[in-house]
Amino acid sequence: MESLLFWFFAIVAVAGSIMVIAQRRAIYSALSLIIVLCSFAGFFFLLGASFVAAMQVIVYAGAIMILFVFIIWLLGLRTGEEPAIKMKWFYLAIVFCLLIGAQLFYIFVTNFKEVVLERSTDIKEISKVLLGKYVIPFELTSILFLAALVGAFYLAKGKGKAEK
Amino acid sequence: MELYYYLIVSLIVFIIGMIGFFIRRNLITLLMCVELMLNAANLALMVFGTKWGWIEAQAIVLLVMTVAAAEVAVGLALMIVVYKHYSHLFIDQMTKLKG
Repeated sequence: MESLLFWFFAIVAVAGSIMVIAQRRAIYSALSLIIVLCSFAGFFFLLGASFVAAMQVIVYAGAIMILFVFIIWLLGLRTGEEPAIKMKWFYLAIVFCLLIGAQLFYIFVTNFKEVVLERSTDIKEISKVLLGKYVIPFELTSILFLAALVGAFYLAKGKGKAEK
Repeated sequence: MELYYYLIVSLIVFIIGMIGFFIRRNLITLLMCVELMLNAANLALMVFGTKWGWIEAQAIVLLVMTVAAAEVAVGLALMIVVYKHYSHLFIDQMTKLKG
């Protein structure tokens, strides 16, 4: 059952991410990205991190993708269409990605082949870590959020109106 | 299910995001490719955390998610500014710095 779920999520994730980069219109890319993020939530669930999986759905597929969709809607669908892909960049990208992919594949397959999954995670443990040992990064993230909020508001408001 | 299958999926998604970052010319799609790569890195982090029974990995994944949310908020606000300035979002037509 678990391996069936894994293969389902894997196929959905890879196909969806190919759709993200293959679609000409940005709104279709955004919808494909939502599918990819949900299948990543499935991966987190299979790894035993059900809290992270829920957060993935709520934060990524809920909040971040709503931002994307709203921006595409605000700027107009027309802006999402782009001219045909230049093939020289595609070949360059393939070369670089094959290099990095071969290195990482070698490391992963040689060092992790014998590892078998065991899951032992509890939301109580995560909250102890997050609010105990990592409480300063946690609070710094709140400050970062506040800064991002103010910055995004200032940028999107525009120069002319902000000076009034 | 062995753990390295997860790593291979994360690797494939990372590489797809990277190819997309190279070949696409639309700023919104580029930001989406960055999100793909971030998610793949998150998944790899979770796999390593599961391998060594390291519960901090989940906390770090949560922090990475919040940082990604902040990054997307600022990036999309920048995109509005770029759109107001250029009336399009194609990076190969933004050549003001070219001598």
